[in-house]
Amino acid sequence: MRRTLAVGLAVLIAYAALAAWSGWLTPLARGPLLDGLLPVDYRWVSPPQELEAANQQPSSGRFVLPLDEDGVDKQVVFTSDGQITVFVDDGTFGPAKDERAVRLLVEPVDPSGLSPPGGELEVFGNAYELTASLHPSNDRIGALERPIQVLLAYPSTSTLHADAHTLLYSPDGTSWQPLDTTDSPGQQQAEADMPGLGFLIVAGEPERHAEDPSVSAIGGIPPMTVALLVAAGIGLLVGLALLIRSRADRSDGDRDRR
Amino acid sequence: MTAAQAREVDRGASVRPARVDLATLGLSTLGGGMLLARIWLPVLGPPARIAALAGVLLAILAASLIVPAAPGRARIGRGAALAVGLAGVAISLGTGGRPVPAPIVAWALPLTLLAAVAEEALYRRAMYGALERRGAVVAIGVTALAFALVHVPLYGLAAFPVDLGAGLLLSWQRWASGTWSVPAATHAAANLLMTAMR
Repeated sequence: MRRTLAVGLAVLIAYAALAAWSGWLTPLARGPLLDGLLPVDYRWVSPPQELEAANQQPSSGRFVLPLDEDGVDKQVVFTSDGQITVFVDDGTFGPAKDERAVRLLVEPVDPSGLSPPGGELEVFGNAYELTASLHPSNDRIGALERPIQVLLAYPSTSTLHADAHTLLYSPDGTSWQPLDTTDSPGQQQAEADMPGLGFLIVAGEPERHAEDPSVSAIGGIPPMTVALLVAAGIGLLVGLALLIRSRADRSDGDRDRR
Repeated sequence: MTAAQAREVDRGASVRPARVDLATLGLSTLGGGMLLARIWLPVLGPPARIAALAGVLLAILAASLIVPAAPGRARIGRGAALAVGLAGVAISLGTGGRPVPAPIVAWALPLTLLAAVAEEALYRRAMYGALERRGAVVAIGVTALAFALVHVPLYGLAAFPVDLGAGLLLSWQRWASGTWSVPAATHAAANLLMTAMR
């Protein structure tokens, strides 16, 4: 029993260390276990027609970040709908004379009012605009002392689906710069360092169904085929289990007779 | 369990034909493939996606319970194994950090609990049972590795370390308690915590 518990303790320590490693790699891998595939209930500024009825408007965020002699302190802020999370590092906004705080505003925006991302890329979901001003002067902040880490949720629907997603940044919404992105399709979230204030979008190359270019598909496989493959997989899995069970029962019977 | 009973259990596992274990490993691989196929489901649209996800998980659970598995030998009590597992989850939440917010749907909770039980039935009952004759180190190592790898396409490479650590702990619980229900309870608690904290 003592040996079993000692092994358990060693495994527990290894688990805690490995969890710390994942959390250090990206905020997307924080937590004790990444599992379960939690589907996202995405809120659109301007939803596709088929989602209009059920859509809820996305949330804005207004955050007051206290300023001291070193600038702002490290903190995490997010909108109430959880669609955008901003990781502000120590000194991201530097100190300013006679100012007491930074007001950070995060606003969802219809991306159709901005330049398209270009190439084969399509925008996934809303654009987000990040602006900041000093308090009490209300002076607008133009630049960051260091990048801010941003995590954005994106939709995945029957007509808009891609295998990989990239965060794009633009200071004014006219031209886009791809950011070094960590994508987590299971969580439908992407994370990157945003070099300045301005606009942010998630973009990807949707794969199209060859016979109907308006329909998204994975690897060119249309949704109906995906449904049939899943159904076939379910049948195969249960059928194989029943076959293994019957063979095992037969072996037990043969052994008992002997 | 007495030493004599333990020998009986070990004998029961060893007389199961090797081809049954081999076929169960094939079934576990297919089940892992079905878990990977979850990444395709968003193309189905919201209602069909939920139905398909629940269908996949229920099929994995049913198949994993249908295949024969010899009863395991308990080395410590279930309560002690569960306590170590829950402590591991709590400590790893502290070292790994709080999960980031996400706009998850209301029915994520039952689905994530179903996923926990189905995955444990697959990895800690069916697959572990099929590997047990090769020794505890192989059974724990291979099931933990398979568990971690199946989550990489969904959550990215950064998720591999934490899921490998979780897989090792859950497989240790299976070895220590002799039952897959203890890791299933721990896994369900971890998923519940992750969902509640978002």
